[in-house]
Amino acid sequence: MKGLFLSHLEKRAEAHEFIRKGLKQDLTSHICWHVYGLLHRGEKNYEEAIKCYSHALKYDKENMHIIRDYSLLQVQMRNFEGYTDTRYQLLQLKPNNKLYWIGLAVAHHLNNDHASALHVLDTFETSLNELPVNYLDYEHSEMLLYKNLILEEMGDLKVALTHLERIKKNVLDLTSWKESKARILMKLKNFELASIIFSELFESNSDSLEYLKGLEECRGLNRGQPNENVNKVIAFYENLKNMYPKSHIVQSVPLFYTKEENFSNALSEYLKPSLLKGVPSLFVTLKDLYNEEWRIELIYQLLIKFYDNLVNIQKFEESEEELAAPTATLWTAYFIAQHFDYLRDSDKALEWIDVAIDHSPTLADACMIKAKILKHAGDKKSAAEAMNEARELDLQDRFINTKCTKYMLRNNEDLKAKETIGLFTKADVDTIEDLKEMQCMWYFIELGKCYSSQYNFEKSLKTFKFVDKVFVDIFDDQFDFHSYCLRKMTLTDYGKLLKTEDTIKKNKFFVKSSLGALNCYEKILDKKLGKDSNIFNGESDESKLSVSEQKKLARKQRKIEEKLLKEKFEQESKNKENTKTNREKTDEKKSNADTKKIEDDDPEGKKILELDIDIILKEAIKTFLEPLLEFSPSLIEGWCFGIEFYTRQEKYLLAWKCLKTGVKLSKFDPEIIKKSVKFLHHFYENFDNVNATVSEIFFSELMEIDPFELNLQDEAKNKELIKTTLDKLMSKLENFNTTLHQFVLLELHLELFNKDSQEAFINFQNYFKGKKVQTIRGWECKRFGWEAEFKLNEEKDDKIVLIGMDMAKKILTYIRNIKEFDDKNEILEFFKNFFVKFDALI
Amino acid sequence: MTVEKKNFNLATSELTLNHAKQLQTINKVVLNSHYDLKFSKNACNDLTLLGFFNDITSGAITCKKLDEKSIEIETIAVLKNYQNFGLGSLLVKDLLKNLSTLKFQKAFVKISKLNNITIELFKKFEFAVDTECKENVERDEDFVYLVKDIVAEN
Repeated sequence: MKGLFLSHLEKRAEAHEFIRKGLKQDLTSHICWHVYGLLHRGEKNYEEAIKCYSHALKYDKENMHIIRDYSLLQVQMRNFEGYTDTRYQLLQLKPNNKLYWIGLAVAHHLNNDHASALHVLDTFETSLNELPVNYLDYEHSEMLLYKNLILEEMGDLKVALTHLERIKKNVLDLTSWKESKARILMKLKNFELASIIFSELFESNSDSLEYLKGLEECRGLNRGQPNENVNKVIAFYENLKNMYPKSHIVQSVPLFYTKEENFSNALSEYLKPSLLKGVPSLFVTLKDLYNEEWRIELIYQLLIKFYDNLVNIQKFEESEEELAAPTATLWTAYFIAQHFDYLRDSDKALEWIDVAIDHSPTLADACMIKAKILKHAGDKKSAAEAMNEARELDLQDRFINTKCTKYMLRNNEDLKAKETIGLFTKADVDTIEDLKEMQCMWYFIELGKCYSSQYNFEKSLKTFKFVDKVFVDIFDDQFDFHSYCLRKMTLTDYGKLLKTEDTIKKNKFFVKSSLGALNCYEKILDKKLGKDSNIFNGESDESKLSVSEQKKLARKQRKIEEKLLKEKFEQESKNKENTKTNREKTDEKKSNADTKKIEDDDPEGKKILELDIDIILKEAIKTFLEPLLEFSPSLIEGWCFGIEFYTRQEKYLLAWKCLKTGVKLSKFDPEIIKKSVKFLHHFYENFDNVNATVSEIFFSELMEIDPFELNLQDEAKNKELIKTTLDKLMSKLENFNTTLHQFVLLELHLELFNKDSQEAFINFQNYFKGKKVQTIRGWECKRFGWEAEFKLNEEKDDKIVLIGMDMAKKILTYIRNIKEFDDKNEILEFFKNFFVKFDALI
Repeated sequence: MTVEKKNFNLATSELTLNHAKQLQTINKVVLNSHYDLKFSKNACNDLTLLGFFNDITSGAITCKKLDEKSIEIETIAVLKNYQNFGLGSLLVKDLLKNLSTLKFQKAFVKISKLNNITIELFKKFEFAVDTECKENVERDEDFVYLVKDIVAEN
């Protein structure tokens, strides 16, 4: 008992000690084991807790409390078989408790044993002593719907349907009931009846895309092939438009079906009211129309016509009688700007957004779009400035504040960003602490990226790890629901919850943080291996600054920090005054101060540098790589990291598996070629240490699958095969005419075959000679970059290279940092002139 | 001239600190004024109104308190594209309403002689040429001085 108390007093170590003492006294005491289990559970160490509980049960088989807790742990660990057994035991002990009946049914269902689940529910229902026919009770209603779901999942749809009809009078949640019915009818292909139900549902929510799709399907209108029965579709929507004039989707969806000759008219009908009213999100709703060239052209023509007419005669069209409001001009220009931004024509987009801003300089939305365009053009600094202007126009808008914080982080201004987001966090708590408390993941992901781009990978990794912790917390949070959902009978939704929790790491925040974290691990490992990574990390850029400049920088930084501290102090003293009168609040503050005392002993995250390489690798793979590959298999970046990390672990077959999967996703992705070359190189260098079976499997698969189409059939299966593959892959890369491929080639030469650096640079320069540079949306989205350039080269003009600011900056840094060679200055000058457009960085 | 149509929605509201920058922007664009953000922040009171056209901030009027009973209208501005739709009139009208609730008795305004439109606007609201001259204040020849007695609202 003392142990239990201590654990609640935050004295973990002592608590363990005391409980162990207790156990030593009497190993057969179920109480001691139970308490030990509780302690482990409190620490979220579920595996240990389960062990303790099973010990406790050994000595007291019929203790309800222990069995119930035990079952909760089992479902948390997804041990459904054990869970079913335990639940059965509970029911036997207390057969008159409704909860245990339901619990057993759920357990059977989770264990994929639908028939038993159904049987339990049936028995339970018959045991309920004659309910009144129209018995209405929420819990009962949920139970019935749950039973219906089981019936539906068992596949006997007709039975499910009859059951559904029978329970209707006892069901409270009629929307779910109707949804189930429509779903079952659709599966039974009874479209006529389903259509009636969907109509009813659509009536209740006429902006639901799901119901609308259902309706379409019932009418045999296939979304995939809109050309087949266009007239039917249009008529169907005309009808709906009359019935639900206020529904937005009924207005916008038919545009996707409209044929070229009617498109302008239909679009014009749709656009005019929105442009008059001023709908900032108008472009977003129509973005999906941009998948056809002719549509893009027609949209542009229509908007330009509107704009000219509005400027000259204040009407959309000459035939109109009423004058349009001046805001219509504004929103039209605003739309056109987004149109060009979407087509990656940043210059024209900027021209048009300036038209909108000149028209109404007070509109924050327009400034936001300007920031967005600048971001896409790769100019993070101006983007952050523009977003800050938007923020200043409307200081109470949390959304803009948030966006602004994000843009600042992208521009490496972490202190300023903290200040900005701090305007909206709790006043009496530290900004970062509050953001952690609120599990504000986007902030930490952006902050992590920000540290990464400052080459502070340790701190960055620490930040990304926090995001992972949030996911662990989310998974832990379900624990309370195991008992709560059973008690409240929200069984259908409980099932959904469990499914969501199982795949929680699909979430884009987890994906983003994993990619960021893996990148940090890679850099940290390089650092530990003592690789000369100076060329790549740009740190020397800073060290090249003269001493006085460095001092200046430091002083500047200090000034900002001092200013922040001062402001914080002022704010805090203000808060103190406010709270003086309110004693309760001051108490709260005290407790806050108490928690703050637990200070982070490693704020920079440097401790990781002390760990062994193997441990770091294992941690990276277990925490980030494995879940990433499992839950986001369509993400090529994940497979690239897979190759990288498994190669480092010398698990060549796993790396090879990642390579195969990655190549299947995108054959000549520059990143995957880069990682593959590195893998082959490493394999070649360490070939003598490799197990013969491994190399045997590798060789035969390599020749059979030949992922990069290198024609390897005639080669002998030995070490030299790797070398041949490597060389062939490199020459393949040389012939690939995109900036990113050439850049990867350069990087590989510098990284693996350092001796060729001079030649590599000259080759790289040759690629650019006689070409024109064109900016592209931020080069961070590399894949998009090379695909766009590839398309451009194929179709129009191979004299243009697409390049983003990041890329240009990297190239210049590389050249600056590489050791002296004959033509170095000349090459540097060439690229400086080449990138003259990005004068900000030269 | 007031244009009233279904898609023309005019409104005013008092300036808050959060939107001070909007006032600054309007005054800068329309009046080419050198007022800084501090001016706009100080103007956050019952005597400053922002005007909206279809929810877009497109006009503003600011005042200076002269004493307990009287104020001077310092600036009035409507963005170029939103002029001639009655927003200026609405700003003056709503301001006068506020002034009378706040028990002010006199409103002064000084307008450049070249600015006929604004002079007409105020005359429409029964501003009259101020004949009295305060002591020790020399009047600028290029400006017209208008004044209005405000009737208290019950």
